[in-house]
Amino acid sequence: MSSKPIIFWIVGLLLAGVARAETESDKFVRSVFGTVPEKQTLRLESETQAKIASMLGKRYSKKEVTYWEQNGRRIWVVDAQGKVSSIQTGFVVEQGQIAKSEVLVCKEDHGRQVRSARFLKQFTGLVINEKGQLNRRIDGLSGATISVYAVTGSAKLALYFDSLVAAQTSMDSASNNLASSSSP
Amino acid sequence: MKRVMKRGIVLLCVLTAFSSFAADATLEERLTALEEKFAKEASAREEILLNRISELEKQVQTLSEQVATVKPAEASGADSESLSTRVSAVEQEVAEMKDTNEKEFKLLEPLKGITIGGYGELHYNELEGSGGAKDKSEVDLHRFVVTVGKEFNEQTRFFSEMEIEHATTEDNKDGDDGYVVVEQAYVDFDLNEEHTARGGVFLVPVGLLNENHEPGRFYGVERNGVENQIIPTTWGEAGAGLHGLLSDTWRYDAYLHTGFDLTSTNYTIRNARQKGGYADSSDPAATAALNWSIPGVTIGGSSQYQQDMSSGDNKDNISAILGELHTDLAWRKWGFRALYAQWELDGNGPEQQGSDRQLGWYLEPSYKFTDKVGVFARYSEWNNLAGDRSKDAGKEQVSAGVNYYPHPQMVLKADYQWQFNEDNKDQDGVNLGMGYEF
Repeated sequence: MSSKPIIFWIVGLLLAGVARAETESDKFVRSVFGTVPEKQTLRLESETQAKIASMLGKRYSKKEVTYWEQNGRRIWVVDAQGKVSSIQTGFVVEQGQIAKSEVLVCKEDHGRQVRSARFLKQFTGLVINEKGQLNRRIDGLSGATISVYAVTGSAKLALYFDSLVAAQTSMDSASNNLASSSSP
Repeated sequence: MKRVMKRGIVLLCVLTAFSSFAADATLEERLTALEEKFAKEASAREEILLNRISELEKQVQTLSEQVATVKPAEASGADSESLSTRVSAVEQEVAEMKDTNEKEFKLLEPLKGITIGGYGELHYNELEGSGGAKDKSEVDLHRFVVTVGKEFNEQTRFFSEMEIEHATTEDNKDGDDGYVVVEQAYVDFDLNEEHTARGGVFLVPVGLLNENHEPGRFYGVERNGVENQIIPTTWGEAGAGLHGLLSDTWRYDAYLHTGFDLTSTNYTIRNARQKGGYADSSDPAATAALNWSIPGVTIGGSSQYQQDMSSGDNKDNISAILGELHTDLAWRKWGFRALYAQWELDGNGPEQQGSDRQLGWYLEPSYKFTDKVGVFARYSEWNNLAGDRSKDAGKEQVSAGVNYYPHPQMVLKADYQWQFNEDNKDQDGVNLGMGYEF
């Protein structure tokens, strides 16, 4: 056997590896923004953690979350525990509202139907109030209680995280305005 | 003499006056000097202050110009250089911390992908028997279940459920005993995004409760009679098959598995359940299910074929077929569940007993006041000897009650049951229960 086919195989496998290296979240970001802007990080301080615990009724294990931003739209990718595996959902948030949502990873048995467009359509336009409650009730899927609960909790988190970044951004721009208005 | 004294006094006065005049002149001089000195110092200070002020003004102007023109992410000059060195130092620190974290994480890798969960139910029944039926007044830790799952990789997962029923495996005073059982222990292997192969001991996809039997997911303290006596929930079998999605809304399940194995001539379905341990595999069974789901609506059904329910040494070949239809609806605060299930058994034994046909159905409307409180009513009928109507074996039960969720994963239940059985042996009364799931 000549070495040529082997080299082709190796190159092919390497290319396949590179192609696979793009994560589900990157794919989602690309599908929405057309490109993958640099990842940004929101640190979850203890005050934020306490608020999350009161919203979800359980603690959230992460110390920081990443997001992507483009033209005032932010994409949040949130992990939640399902019955047998973790469920990863991506949310596009625009002006405090969910504009689009997609379940990126879900290996649940009966929960898999949370991936359906018909289920996720319910999340479009959702907003969150100060108590961390959604403005609409999400209809469940029979037999998929835990998965529905996980995705709904993730939506709350995405909206809450977004509100934190929005508040920070408006504070920054206010102080910038202040500085520029004081110059002669 | 007097004159001399007068002159002396005058002279003295003149001298004094002169001397005082002289003293006044030096004071004035000192004052002027002082005044001059003060004026000089004041002007010097003023000059310094003015210089400082104009310097500050200049600084303020440059700073505001910088603030107005420089974008946050950019920086220039000596300050930005020191900033960027500080930032890169912090970055390095973070990278080092990440490395250490990853190393520590690798040590914990055996635990990666493992999920541990469980559920349990504690029941209290206070029932009054009539027409020959016994009273029932007991507290029972009906189920205590631990689930363990492991995600081996993106395609392969293991899930198991081990259960202790009635708290102990020892006989109680009435001779009833609890038992330990592995309800589920299976491996799922994803063939692609939509289809998954399954092998092991798993719950057969029949009815509304069998695969979703955790206490918070249904109304009523005890599981309904139909999904107990006609569909023997919790019903696990050993086998293999496929499940997955045909589209966004259609789910299918198809399995080959161990079948029923009757050890006596009591042909009731619950009595025939094998649960996968030393299960007789000579006569397998097959189950297929199809469900259509959109948010708030599920309609589905299942069918099972049993090649031979009788045990190996029984000469009477008993094949059986199950048909089952169900729906689970939610509209605003209203809910509605309904189910119909029917067995047809072939063979002489069942026919003679009247157990060649076993069927049941129920209707269950419910209403959720809030996420925490829901009420329900259920009408159910079932008969394990429906092949012979003269046996008066039909059971009829009306239940109504409440589920209260102090936490989404915890439920307190209360219901009242009325029975109208054909043999008039009824048990009426109160059931109380608590359950949890995590």
